[in-house]
Amino acid sequence: MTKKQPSDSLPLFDLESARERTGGDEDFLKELLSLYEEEFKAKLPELKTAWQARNFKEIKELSHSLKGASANLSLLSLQKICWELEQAGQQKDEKKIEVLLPQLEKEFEKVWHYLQQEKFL
Amino acid sequence: MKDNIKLLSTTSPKKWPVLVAEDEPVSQRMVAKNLQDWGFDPIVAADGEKALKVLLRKNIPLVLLDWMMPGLSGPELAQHIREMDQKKKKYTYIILVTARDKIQDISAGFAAGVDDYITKPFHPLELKARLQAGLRIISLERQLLNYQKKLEKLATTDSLLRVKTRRQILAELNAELARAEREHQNVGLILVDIDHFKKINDSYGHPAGDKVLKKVANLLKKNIRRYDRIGRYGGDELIIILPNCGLAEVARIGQRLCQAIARLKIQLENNIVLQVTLSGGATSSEAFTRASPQILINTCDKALYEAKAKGRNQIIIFPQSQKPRAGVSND
Repeated sequence: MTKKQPSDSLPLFDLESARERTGGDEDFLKELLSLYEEEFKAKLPELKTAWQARNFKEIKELSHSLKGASANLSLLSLQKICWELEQAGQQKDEKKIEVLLPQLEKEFEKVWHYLQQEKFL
Repeated sequence: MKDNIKLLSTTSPKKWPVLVAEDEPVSQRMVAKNLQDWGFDPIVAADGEKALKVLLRKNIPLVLLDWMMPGLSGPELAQHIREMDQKKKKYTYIILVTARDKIQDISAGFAAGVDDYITKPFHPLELKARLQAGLRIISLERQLLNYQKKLEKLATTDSLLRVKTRRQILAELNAELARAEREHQNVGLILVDIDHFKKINDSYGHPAGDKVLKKVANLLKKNIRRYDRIGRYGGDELIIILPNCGLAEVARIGQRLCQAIARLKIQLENNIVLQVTLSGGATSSEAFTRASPQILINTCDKALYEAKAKGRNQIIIFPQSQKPRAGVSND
């Protein structure tokens, strides 16, 4: 599950794994996904602000946090982008951050659309 | 893989509190739910400072610390916890939750004082296993603390009379005088012994003498206030510390003790019933500008001597006021 793959071949959501983490409790899984959504929607503008201010430490910390949340819910493609963004923040790599931020936003919408379609939410 | 088996401690299925120091909401919620399912009592804190505040207020033996948190980092918090443990003389089992698996970070964590670590994202059962190990350590620590308390009690208690030992009561007198000085209060002291005790031992034997001592000590214990302290000063000498007592109060209490003992009937073997009396010397730090334990004890000693000279069965208060105020006697 944590094998490195090109992000477009990573699953958006590993349901089996997420179920295992939540002990098969569907309601609890929904609760966590809702919590994740809330968190993401709060942290994304913070990331943008941090980027505008070139606050790399903040970018690193925020994406590290989101990475953890994504991993907990087996949202693997999101986890990967967060990890890359964290590295870019650590390395103060402006070019990468510029690319990854919009990528992150797009991926989230893609994943959430998928989850809604599959009625996981 | 829902595991509904409640985690049992070594004694009874109680809810062990666990502090979860984690700033990321999803992780925090997941861990808290897992802990609840396993029979723990999770307490969450979203950053290091909040975690520290909780630990200062409550006694929480198990802590899950996230490595990277805003403000105080995991290792910094671990250091604070160890300092707190030293002061409070207890042990907190710390598990560091880290996203990294680089050996330097882990060894830094252990150097900071953590007991174990787990890498994110972790399988719930792995956390559970590590918590179980932690519980074993904590239970052991509790046992040890218990023994320590029992040992301390044994070392400071006279085994026959169940009062403080001489060494302990003198230490307490010292402490009490220091406290009284800080708080501008008085400390009363009464020194008593049993009249003709040697004769009792000679006539009825040492077991009888022991019984007399025990009965006297018990009755005195019953007749002093909750915060007074009683210790065995010598063979048949008992010393009583009376916090916040001036001379008048000491006199009053002394008279009560004397009368109580004089009424006591002690049943020995062969249907012999003994009655005993006390002689005593008493004083209070009220009477001195600089009261030391030695001054108080010496004063009581002199007063005790006077009580014997004046016919026993009485407690005499020194210093005696200018007005003719006889020592307290048992009329």
